[in-house]
Amino acid sequence: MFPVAQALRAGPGAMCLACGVDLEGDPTAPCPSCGTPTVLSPDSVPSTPMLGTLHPRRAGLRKRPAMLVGRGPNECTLLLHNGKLLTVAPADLPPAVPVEPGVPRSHSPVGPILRHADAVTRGASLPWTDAQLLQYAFGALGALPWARRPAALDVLALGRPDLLGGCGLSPTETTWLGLVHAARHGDHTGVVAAVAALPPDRYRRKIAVVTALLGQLRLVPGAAERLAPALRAFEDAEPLAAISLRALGISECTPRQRLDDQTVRAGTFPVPVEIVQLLGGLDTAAVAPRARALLGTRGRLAMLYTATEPDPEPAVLIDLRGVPLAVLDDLVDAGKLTDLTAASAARSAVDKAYLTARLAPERLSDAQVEDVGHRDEAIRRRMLSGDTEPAPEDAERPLALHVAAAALLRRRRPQDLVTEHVLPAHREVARRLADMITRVDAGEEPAALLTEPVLADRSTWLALVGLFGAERLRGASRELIGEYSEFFEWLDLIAAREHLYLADWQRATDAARRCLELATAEAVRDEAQNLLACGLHNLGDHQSALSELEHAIEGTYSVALLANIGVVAAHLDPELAARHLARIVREGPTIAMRVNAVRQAVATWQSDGTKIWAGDAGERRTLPTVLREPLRSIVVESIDLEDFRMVASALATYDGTWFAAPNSLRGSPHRNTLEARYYVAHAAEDMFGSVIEVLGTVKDWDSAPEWLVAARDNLVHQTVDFLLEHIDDPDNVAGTVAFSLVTKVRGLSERDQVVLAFLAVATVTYHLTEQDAEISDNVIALYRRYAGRQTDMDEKLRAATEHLAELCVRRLALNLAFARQRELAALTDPYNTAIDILARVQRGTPLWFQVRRQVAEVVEACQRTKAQLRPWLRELESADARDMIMDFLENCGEFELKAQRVLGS
Amino acid sequence: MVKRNPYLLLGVDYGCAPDAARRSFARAARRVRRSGTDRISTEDLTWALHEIQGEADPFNEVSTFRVPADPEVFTPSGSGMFAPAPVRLPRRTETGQSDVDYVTDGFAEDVELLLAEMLPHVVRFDYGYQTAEGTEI
Repeated sequence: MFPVAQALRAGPGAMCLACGVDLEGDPTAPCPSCGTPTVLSPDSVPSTPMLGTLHPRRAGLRKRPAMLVGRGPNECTLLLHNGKLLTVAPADLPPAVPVEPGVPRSHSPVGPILRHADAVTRGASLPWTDAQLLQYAFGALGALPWARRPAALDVLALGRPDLLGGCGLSPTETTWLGLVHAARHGDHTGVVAAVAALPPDRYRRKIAVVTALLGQLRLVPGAAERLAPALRAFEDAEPLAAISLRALGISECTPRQRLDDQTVRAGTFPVPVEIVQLLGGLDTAAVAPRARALLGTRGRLAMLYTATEPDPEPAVLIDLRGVPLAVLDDLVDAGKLTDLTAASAARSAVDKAYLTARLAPERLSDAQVEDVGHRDEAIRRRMLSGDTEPAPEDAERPLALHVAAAALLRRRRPQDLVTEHVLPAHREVARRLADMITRVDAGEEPAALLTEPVLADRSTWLALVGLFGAERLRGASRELIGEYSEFFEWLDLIAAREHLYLADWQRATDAARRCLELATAEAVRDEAQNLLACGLHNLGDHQSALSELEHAIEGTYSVALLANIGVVAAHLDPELAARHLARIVREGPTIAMRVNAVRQAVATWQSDGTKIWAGDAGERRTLPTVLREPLRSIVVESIDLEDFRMVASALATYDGTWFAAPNSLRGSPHRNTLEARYYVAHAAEDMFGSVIEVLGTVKDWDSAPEWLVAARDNLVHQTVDFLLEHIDDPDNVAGTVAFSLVTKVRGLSERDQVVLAFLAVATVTYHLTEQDAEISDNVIALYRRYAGRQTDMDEKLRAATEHLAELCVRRLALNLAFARQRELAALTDPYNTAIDILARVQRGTPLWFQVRRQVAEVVEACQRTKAQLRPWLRELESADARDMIMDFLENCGEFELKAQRVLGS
Repeated sequence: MVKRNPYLLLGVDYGCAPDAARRSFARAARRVRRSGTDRISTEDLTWALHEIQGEADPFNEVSTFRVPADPEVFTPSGSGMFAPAPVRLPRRTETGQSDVDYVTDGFAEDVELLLAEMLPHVVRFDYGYQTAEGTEI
């Protein structure tokens, strides 16, 4: 460690610690100013035993601690546990408690008492207060003046500078000791206070302490003001004082001076070699990376700024926010700053535009180009967009003249070309191209005139095609093709595209294949395969086209290629098309594109139609797995309602079990819409019933969405068609659907209502008749309701539904007749039994009454039958049915008559 | 039956803007006329223009073949006579003393911070008492 005093110009000469004057000569001699010795303790000090040892002595039944607080030649003074003093002869002194190992040796005889006092202050268990003990310690120093300084060191060793005042030293010496103690323990406020309390022109060493701690002292509030007198007092004598005055802002200081001051400080104190390196010069080559790593942002900026070798790498790592624009410009000009992001971080829009123009003008927006006034960039952009007319104010700029010269060549006017107007770097190309145009115009073939300089400049390629056409440029020498294969494969690509534009599919595929023979770059090969696929697709070879596209999309993802796969796949068989389109549904970059692929896939896959009554649910097709999963995922995304309806329709039809499950649509924003309810119903196990329930919720069909009206009408018409074809089938499912449609769904046309009602009645009645079951009153009521409207129907509708009405009458009448027959047949055996009993039983008995009721039931049944069936006879047109019912009624009448007689007898 | 491709008919990149398609109409007509082909008629071109102008967002479609798939391939990259390289704007600032001071001051401040960190660890603060042996405590 470096003694701080050695930093002073005056050297580490002794200093009177009592009054602070410099001492010259013998450092151990007393101060000539105040006479105080400089030594810690004089040689002549008699050997003094240590006080403060503990001597436990018996007091009553147990031993109590006692402390040695005084010692003479013939007597020892013990401080007893109760605070009283006891004088004993040295021989009678009880044995001392051994000092614990590790306790530092005291400088003064009272050191142990001070240590005990400090321990009590900190909570140790002794029978005395700290004040009592300090009183004995400091009291003892009165008789031992030489021990005051050692006692002060003991106090400081205990970390108790607050006790220094009790040691009996001069106030300034006490302050000085406090200053050093504060410096040692990082108490910078204490350092400032102590320096300010010392006489300004004394205690020179304080200047070294302040300079060593400048960085910390600057942060103490009011430090500059309080330290100023002391520093000014030594300003002329000690360079460190002048440095401190500048560092604390008391004296003015330029940045250069500030840097020089740090150099002085670093040269004065033993700092690490890295800091010396840093201050030795700012050339990065001379500074080790380890040293550079110590610096902060601005330090590294300075290193970069002054470096002689351009190395843009560090600039990326430096925070350049707030750095003056001129400094950045210096770095740019020196090639040390090339990264735009690093340069323009947190800059204003104006600065950003300027720095972009300085570093990467091609990244400026058009508006920025104008704002920043970068005329050459504006001219360049106009040229690239095909505008070769410069703005009037730019006409004489070299780049504008170059643009005009290039335009002359494009327009095939080499005779007007002024070569000097072309930028020097491009003059050779311009000359060659002008020569080529002239010779082609004279009849030579352009392919033979191609030269290396022209082809090496890739910006000429499009111009060459524009001047001579792609086909005429083919046929160059083998050497040239070998050397500039990129140009010739590109040429074939252009040719293939041109042929596609002219719908010349065969020549397009030929050119694309030629390109593939030469090309090695993946992007070019992919495009060539795309053009080849386009040609093949249009030639009808979809399978080969698909194969080319699949090869092209291997390795590099391309939305366009993916879409083209979808286009071609749509022409393959539905399963295969679905597989390819499903990939777009999975991988498409936008929801809209994915939905379009879904639409195409579903359309392709269900191209054989969707007949509702084509079969029962068990025969429904299911979506292929490859298509099913993408559809399931897209139906819950934020797609348009119309798209949702399309996807939901497909899922409800082909993936109904999943679609109808309660949580399938939980994530969809459309889960509570009419569309969702309708298609979930469509997917339900009881599809017809559920759908009709949904349709039944619509109260105003005039304002209903078109798709729902269409769905309703489709269901109605397909139901009608099916029933008409299956009118004699005993199955009543369709009839029940028709019944529900006409009774629950509003808004049907009159014709649809009548036809549905009659078909429902006819089918359901026929089914029940086949089941030996009687129709309900609802069925008859439905028939009556629509039969009653026949008179109001227009002639055409009445004629169209007449035969259905007749069928209803016949089936209803027969159903009722059969029902009554079954009823009377069931009464016949009980009736015969009753007749037998009446013949034997005495009149008026309970049994007699019981069997008469049985006979009466027959009478009532016959009368009910006649009353029910006779009206139908008037409506029945079928002679067979009427005869059958009339025979039945006749039998019924006879049966009733017999029964009446029995009751009348 | 392969669907007709309006972009191919007009000889424009797939998805080009309606305005660009309109501008290319005359060029396409010239191309067809020069080629002497009878595969494409003026009516076809008119239909194609109408289709393109009516298309909402071609880049979401999957029903029309896209040519080119990668337009960049058709435009050779690199600078040259017909595509001069961008030129950096000459500087518009002058470096003054304040700029140099900014750099110097930043460096000095960094070193000052380093010294503040290190000095307390390399110096010894003595009380200044001389011992009998001539050393200081």
